[in-house]
Amino acid sequence: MLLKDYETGDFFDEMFTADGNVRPHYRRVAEEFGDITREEYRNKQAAVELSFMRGGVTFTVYNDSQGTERIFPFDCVPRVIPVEEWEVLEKGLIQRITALNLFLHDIYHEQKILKDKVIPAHYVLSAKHFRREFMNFSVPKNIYAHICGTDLIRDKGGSYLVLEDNLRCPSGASYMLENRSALKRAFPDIFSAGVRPVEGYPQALLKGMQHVAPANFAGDDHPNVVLLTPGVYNSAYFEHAFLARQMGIPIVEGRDLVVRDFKVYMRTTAGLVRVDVIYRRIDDDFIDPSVFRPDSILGVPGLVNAARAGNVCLANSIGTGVADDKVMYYFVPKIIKYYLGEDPILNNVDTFLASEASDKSYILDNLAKLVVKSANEAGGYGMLMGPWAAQEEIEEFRKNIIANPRNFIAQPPISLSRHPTWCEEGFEGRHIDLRPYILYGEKITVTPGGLTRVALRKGSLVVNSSQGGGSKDTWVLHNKA
Amino acid sequence: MGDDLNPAQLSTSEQLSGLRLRVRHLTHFAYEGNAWDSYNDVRLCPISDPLQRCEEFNLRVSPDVPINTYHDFFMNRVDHFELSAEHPTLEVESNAIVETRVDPRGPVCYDFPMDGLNDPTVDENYFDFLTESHYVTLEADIWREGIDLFPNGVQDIWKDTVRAALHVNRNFKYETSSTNVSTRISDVLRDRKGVCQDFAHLTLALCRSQGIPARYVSGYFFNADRKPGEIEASHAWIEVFLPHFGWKGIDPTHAREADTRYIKLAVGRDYADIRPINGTYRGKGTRRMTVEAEIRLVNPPPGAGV
Repeated sequence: MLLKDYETGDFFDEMFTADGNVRPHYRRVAEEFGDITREEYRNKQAAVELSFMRGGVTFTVYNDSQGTERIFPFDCVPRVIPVEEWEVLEKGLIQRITALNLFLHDIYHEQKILKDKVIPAHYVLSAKHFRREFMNFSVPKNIYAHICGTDLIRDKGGSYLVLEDNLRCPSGASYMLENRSALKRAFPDIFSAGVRPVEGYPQALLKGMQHVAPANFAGDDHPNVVLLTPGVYNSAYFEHAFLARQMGIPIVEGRDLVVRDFKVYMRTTAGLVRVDVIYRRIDDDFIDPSVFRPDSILGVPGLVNAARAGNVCLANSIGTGVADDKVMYYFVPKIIKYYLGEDPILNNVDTFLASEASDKSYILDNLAKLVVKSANEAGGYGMLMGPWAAQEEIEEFRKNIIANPRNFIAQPPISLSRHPTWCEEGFEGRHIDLRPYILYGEKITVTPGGLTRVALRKGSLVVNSSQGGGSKDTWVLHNKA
Repeated sequence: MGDDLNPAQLSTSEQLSGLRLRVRHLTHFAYEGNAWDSYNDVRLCPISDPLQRCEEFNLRVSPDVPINTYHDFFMNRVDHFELSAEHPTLEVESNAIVETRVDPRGPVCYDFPMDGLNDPTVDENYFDFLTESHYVTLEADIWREGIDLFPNGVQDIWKDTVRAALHVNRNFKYETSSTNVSTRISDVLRDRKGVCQDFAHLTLALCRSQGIPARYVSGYFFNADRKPGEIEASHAWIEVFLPHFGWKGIDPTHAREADTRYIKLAVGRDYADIRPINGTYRGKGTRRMTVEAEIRLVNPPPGAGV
């Protein structure tokens, strides 16, 4: 089925209106893919995949016996966001990250939001990633989440909704960049549509890191920034290496760093070199065995106290994971209202908390109609899709929810928007989401575009790369269509 | 519930006046071979609050290294130091002078029904002391013990905490060296014996399993009747949260309220939060640790009022 026979079905389609017309901002894309033949498309696709494989643009699937390194499936039809929609998204994301940052500062200092009973204290204190060790810790320029990836979806009416916030170590920015360069190689002509560049991301990220360096930084002209990775076995190692290379900074593992007199040094062939800022891609739990998990061999002993002494800055900061907790997500609209006095520009998906008595009975009575999520899992793990789940799976979740209600939330299933995607014989609609990347440096900026993930399995709503998802290049146009 | 757990049997405030005490606490580590890259958090500075005031505190680390001080989540003072060079031994010595005071709130003579915890003016931060923590695990066997102890549920927060402490004191044997720092609560329940740390953890678990917020206290007990040569050491007890009254200390090991003979160093959910010396080092896995603690009465400073 080629584009002319494409069916939108009973969903919001990004490219076509309900009566089958191409939306104006997709005009250039429709011209290009409208009369492409199967053979032409397959040739282009094969070339793109080969270049990903050769370039090592891969990721790792844990617990899978069939080889762990694979390429992230890429679909050549770009997702296009018109400029007027983007401006709203940008404002909404900046508002959200501003409020979450104030929230993090507050709960690790005065805890006003708890004292004013806007959020019941026990939800924060019971959050898995609430770091007591981090209390009264001052972070440079009061920035906690330097990099944030917020997942957005669109419902049946086409409204954007926030699905979750990722304030720990959001990944995927390298795919945003690689997807763009792959599409430029395969279809150079279609960029005449006027697409805003994403290529500035690594430099913006580096500038953001340099912005939070200690005032008396050790580097000669610029602060010394390094990227701390758990190592080559991590699922996102490609991204770590890619971003370090793009920023022109060293990539290090825990054993390459050492703390002396509350200062962090990198072991080099020319001796120890002071480090000012660490873009860390290791979770809190593993970052410093003298403070967190003592069995961690990935981290750097003494690192947290070096940060406490103000001699090094960690990005993102320690303890930001509390804002990723899906129970905290429920409170984000209140958080925005509390700190900024504004109504949220981007709405949440309706959410029920299993730890509230009335919500709990509703959830348990309607498990087969709801999506249930664990409060602290990511990557599509620990999730029940009620309407599609087997009875045993539902009963399993029922047991778990009753045993530990704090750990679960539920949402009505959202019928995600669809996008024309190449599937074996031609274009079919597949569900997509969007993860824009927000950088908090001197000011907050959102890279125009982001990572559009697509659920390649027919009918599937799960877009996570670990669960059979692929991705698309994401365009924000310069001008109004 | 048997009469032997009548809360009136708790010894209360034998000590009716404040004391001025000097503490010396020396910990010596001897490593097999050398140790290096050692990072340590020390919680040995006495707390200053309405019940005690720390007049003086000195911390000596040998080999001599800089010390970085901060306050943790529970507002305990932490002294952090690192030793990157190789060293065969490590010595940490603290010297403090503490003045303890009679509780200005007076004896606990009110009723504390459980619904007081739901009062909206009560600070909800006690939540941390209601849930499981590293050593205070709430497993089936501790629930069983708690339900047997309180078949009708908790009637009064204070009186029933006292019952829990008396229960532990009467039915568990205090036995030096019967357990170690990694002993789990279920082992203590099975063997029915332990040391002050286990008594405190067990009482905490009994309280928390019944919805009573309670926290762990590490510190010292000044034993005025100490015989020469008798070992002095760190001590552990608990505090229970009484709405609109505050935290109140009770010592299950001695079956008594914490009075002016008790010196508080730190509070936390359990021992894991507030180990007096906590850290990591590189080197061989074996080391020998010796501890000396000494708590002595001292005269008031010259010129001080009565």
